[in-house]
Amino acid sequence: MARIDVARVIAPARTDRAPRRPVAGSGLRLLPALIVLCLVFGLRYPSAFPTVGNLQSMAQVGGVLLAVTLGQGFALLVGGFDLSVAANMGFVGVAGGDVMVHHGLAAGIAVGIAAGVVIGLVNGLLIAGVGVSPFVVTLGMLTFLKAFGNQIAHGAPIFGFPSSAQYLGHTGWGPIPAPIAIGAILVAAMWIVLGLLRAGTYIYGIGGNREACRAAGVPVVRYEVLAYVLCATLASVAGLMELSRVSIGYVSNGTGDDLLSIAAAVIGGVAIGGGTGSIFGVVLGVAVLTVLTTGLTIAGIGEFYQDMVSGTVIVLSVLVSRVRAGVLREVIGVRGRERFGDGLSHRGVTTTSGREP
Amino acid sequence: MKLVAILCAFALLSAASVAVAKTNGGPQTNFHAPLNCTTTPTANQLLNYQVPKAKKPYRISLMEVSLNGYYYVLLAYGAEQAAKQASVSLRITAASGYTTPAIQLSQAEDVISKGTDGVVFAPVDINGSVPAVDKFKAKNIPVVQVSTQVNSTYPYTVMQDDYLMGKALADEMHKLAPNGGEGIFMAGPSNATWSRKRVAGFEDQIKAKYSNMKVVDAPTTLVDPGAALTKLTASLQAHPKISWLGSVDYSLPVPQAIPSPYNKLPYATMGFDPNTQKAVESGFVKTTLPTDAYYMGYLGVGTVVGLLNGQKEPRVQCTPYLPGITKANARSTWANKQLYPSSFHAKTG
Repeated sequence: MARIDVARVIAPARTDRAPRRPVAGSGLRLLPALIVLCLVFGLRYPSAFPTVGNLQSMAQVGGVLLAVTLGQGFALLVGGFDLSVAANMGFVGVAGGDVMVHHGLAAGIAVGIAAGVVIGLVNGLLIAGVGVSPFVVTLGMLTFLKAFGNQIAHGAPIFGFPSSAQYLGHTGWGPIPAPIAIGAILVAAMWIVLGLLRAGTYIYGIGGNREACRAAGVPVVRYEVLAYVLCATLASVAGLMELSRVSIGYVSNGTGDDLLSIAAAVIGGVAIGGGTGSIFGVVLGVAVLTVLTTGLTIAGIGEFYQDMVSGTVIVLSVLVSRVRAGVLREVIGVRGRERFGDGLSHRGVTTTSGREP
Repeated sequence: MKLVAILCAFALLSAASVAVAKTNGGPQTNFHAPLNCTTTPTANQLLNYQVPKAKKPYRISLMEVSLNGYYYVLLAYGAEQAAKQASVSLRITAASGYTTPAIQLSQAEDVISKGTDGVVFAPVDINGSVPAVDKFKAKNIPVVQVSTQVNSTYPYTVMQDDYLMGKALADEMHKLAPNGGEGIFMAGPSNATWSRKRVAGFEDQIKAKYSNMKVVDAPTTLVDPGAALTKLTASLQAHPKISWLGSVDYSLPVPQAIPSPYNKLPYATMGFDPNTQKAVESGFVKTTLPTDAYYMGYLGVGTVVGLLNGQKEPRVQCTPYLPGITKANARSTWANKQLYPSSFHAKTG
């Protein structure tokens, strides 16, 4: 069977995007924002913010969010998203945690990750195979997992994990906080998948132009399912890390990480609609959100104000990044489109994805 | 132009949000006052309390905020035990996850349409749950509120006095840290009456009696162990030299998750579950004041049955929060009454 150069076939569809740069990419644009945030908090709270203790504490929180955001990145890259990642984390906290308590750490991890694979398979097959919208499928999965988790735990927490479980998120691997060590491994794994393997090319390609990929003979369904499996599996890993970090398995573990992971990825330059995004951008997106929430807590800002500030920063950072990319001209309206042509349009790609009308 | 418009809209939205956040709508609640308790039985009196036998096979409804959490399941367990002893039927309603005032109002309508003789009611919001209570009032159905308050004079009350619990926890904390010093007191959700009252009681008592103690931070957090741990660790960076730790709930954060070396500090909290029992025994928690969810369910159903029987019941029954649970009494009858058997599963229907 003749090999088709998918990268070449799908290239026209990606001329309107930044080229595929899985490691750095457009996410680098976020670096100044991160530096500014660190400077503001560091100068305002010199004895609390720029300390080793705070770095370790942020690393523990950010490591879990990084794992789930890296996963969310796969779903976003193929043009979808996964709203069930937080419920997945809670479910794994209960199901994997329960097995861990009764059968040991390895069995708990195995069950947790297997749960992630199954969840991802179901999501992926329904979305890519049957054509149901990601919103409906992952919202349904979210609801199912929360109820299933509650059914398993009967509303009670799971506790009494083996002491070795603390290496998943509570303590350090030597001087490195466990969530950062695991996060680094996951980043490396994601870089291999997206940067070195053919699967990465296909995942970017599917998000960039699904129909072109299909025409080029790419098994679109298979790789879209793979993206959702990777997404859910990484969410399960995050669930195991969170279980260890908080020392308890609860269905509510991971609450809020569904939208937070999408926000972190998008802030980091992963496009809603797919096809564009970088690993470094995802890491920076997670870092910005973690620094922001930690800094606001150190500043003694109440939770409601924190959410208001976080929400504003999320939207503004995407706006600013678009300004820097020149894409604001599209946001500004038709005049801009007329003046600068379709080469700036992100919507153009979405409409060729085969899913959107 | 549009960019300017977008940024202006953001600025306006932010300003409006701040203004709204600063405006406390609805009836004002005094968080710095105890409940006006008609009676406060002792722990021993509660242990010996017997639910009255029902004169008829009444249909009682327990309206819970959630069944996702040990506290709520324990409350349901207490209610079921009381229902069995009184020989009445018990129907539990709870939302998937946490309910809202709107869902609770719909549930109240549903409970009325299916038929109920009396209701044990856990309000979701002090003001938002008033319309649900009014529904029962209109049908002359007796209501006993448990867990937290609702702004209505109609229901009877079985509840822990959150303000006094806060004060009592300050006393316990001072016993644990007699040299005083700075400490962090982890609060619950910003808008939760129970949390605000506990924090108010704790801080008032410290100001009034313990001048050598100071609350340097009281971060608010949702009832989510992960979020609470994140808030605590950030707060610890701002206040690394604390001498004690307290919280309004045993899961904020989970004691075993508190980072070293702060997990060696005196830590006092409120509430009890099997993990907290372990934490008390292993020294992570020095004292916890029980929240008596079991007795809220148990006494709640008992009070409804008493009212339906035509008995005179105390208007406001406060459950005791003392004796606090320590390593010495972590397996006592009193402590074990704060737990339900692992075989128990609360069911709605």
